[in-house]
Amino acid sequence: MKKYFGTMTLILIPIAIAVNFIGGQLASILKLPMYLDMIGTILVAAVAGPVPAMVAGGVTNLILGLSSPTWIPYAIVQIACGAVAGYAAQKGAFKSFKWTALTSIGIWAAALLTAVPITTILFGGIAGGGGGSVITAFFLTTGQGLWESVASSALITETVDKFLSTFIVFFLVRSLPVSTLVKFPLGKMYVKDSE
Amino acid sequence: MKKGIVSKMYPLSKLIIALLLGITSIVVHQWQFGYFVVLPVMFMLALVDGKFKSYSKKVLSAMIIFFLFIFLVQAFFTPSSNIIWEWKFLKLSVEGLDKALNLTSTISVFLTTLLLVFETTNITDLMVSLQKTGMPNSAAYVFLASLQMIPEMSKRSKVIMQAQRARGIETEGNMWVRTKAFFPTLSPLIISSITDIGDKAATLEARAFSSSNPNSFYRDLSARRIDKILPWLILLACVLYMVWVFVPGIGGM
Amino acid sequence: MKALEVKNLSFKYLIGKEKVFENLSLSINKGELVAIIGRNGSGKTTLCNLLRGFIPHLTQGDLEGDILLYDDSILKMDLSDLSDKIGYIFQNPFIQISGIKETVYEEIGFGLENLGVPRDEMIRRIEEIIKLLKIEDLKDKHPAELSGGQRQRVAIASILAMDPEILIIDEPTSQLDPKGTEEIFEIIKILKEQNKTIILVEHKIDLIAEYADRVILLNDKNIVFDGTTSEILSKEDVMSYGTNLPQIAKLGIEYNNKVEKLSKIPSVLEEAVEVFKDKV
Repeated sequence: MKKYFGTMTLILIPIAIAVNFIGGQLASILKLPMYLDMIGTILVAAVAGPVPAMVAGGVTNLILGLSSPTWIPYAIVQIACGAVAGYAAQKGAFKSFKWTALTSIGIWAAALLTAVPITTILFGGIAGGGGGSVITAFFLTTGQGLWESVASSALITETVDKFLSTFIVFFLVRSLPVSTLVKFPLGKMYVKDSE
Repeated sequence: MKKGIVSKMYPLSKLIIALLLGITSIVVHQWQFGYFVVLPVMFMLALVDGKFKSYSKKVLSAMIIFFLFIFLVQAFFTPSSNIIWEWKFLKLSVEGLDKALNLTSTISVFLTTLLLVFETTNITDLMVSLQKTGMPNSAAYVFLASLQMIPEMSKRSKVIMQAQRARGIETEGNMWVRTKAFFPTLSPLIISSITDIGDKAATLEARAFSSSNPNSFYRDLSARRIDKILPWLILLACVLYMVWVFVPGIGGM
Repeated sequence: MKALEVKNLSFKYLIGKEKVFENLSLSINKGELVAIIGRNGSGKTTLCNLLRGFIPHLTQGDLEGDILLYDDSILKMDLSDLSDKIGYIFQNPFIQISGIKETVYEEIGFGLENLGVPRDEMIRRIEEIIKLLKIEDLKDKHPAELSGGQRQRVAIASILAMDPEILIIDEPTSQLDPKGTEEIFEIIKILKEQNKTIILVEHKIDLIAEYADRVILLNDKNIVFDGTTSEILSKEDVMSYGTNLPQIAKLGIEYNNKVEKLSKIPSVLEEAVEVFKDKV
């Protein structure tokens, strides 16, 4: 078997992966205290469902891993978030503002539940070199245990990040031309919505 | 340009060996394995292959600050009664030091082996070798297209950002101002890229992309005898090492 | 012999309100160079997409009727299996690269890899095409670093490597400069000499007059004119359908209407010489 998805979805995935990279890059150019490196993954979830989103998320970190292999285990975080967002999208979550907000909470929870154990178990509390580590160190000095410190550090950086990323996707889906949108597995959902 | 001995190796064999060493380091849990065996060997191989400078730069930049943090956190904050040094809230313990050494040793095995693989392997070659073992066409497409797409989109995003600046969108100032600049820079890029997908899909189909025929490959890669044997030899060595560590009476602990 | 045949075709895009075609029939013979003309929105590109199967395989819509490739229905065929039978060159040179190859040489081989053509044969065909299209200077370059005109030539090379008998070429020069346009038509000339069946959409009417065997004019969901190039491109009516005529034909029509009757309205230079040689 050569193909698991339609050609449209397959071509969307590398674009989404690039969007994950560019989002992260822009966030750092604009000096925002967020990652914004999951917009592509959530976008794939919204128009093509969970499996393509999981692939987009996972491969994003594999590619990051080519230059810094410590990113590779965090592929699980992207995969989990892609799964949650994709499942929610299949149920129509991105059609309404309220459900998009709830989805962002789901994505946020998935990110925390996966990122915290990876950082704590694999890397002894230091997030693959990321900015959260300084905050972790701060919480440690206040006398909290390692797990609590990593979790509190992640709470701060993840919350705004996931909320913003999910809503950017909410608006992006509405800015796509209808003729393109209908070619994706979940695209028709948003067209009917606007009529 | 003549290829070094590591660069000449079959990509898949290299990757398998890297993973074998990584798994071994997790299983044996001895920090000496990473620091005294794998790390020096990888640096030596990089030297022999003529990639020492760029390789060591990558390894060191990935390791130094990261490991320093891990040592600080683990060595000073692991709960223990065996304190060897103390200053205010910092307590250096034997267990903490041991834990930090083991943890960083395992990470260093993965880091140094994988970075050497990626440093000495053309990713297209790696994909071809994986496709030959049955990885689907579409997986190779996703990987390779991403690698070309990222620099291209990055270039375009910078152009758009400049254009937006020229149109008066603030990219500096307080955080709210900077956050607001994010969307108008990213969204035109995403929307135009996605709008092109329909034509791109047709382009790929016009080149028989989803053809049911089995693929052939222009890149003429094949595993030499040494490429086939070496992973097995390493596996054998790893197993022997584990036996030495775990079986009482033979050695180790 | 009919290479392609369209039978009573009606089509409407999924998101469109009106039909693009209503009960259109057409057949294209083997070895013909057929130009499709018509105003913007008359359905030229849609027809090309239908003939290659991109519609309905990639873009859905309501379709009635049938499209046959040597008596087999394209609607029922696999899209990729058509690749070595019908080639397609797109208007936009910038989307026409695979996006995964590091050199033009490998880019040209991409379709052959997908078809599973053995390596020796693949190399033979790549070399042959590079020579035929005279793109030796490009073969080691990165496909993403080429100019529009270069990309268009590489796109054509990539399709030709698969050796399709029929080629659909949709406005190949609309985004190219005059030099790029000239190079593309050089290639079209070579293809015609190789006796390929070519369906060409092009706005540069003088070039159509020079190269096409037959012209089809689309308007309002159907074909209005279908005939030999000199027959169609000398009709004054053509201009009322939002399409231009060759300068030479316009001169002939003016002369015919205002000065004296001509034996024939010329559409290319040689015809004009023939028609006017007794007049002067």
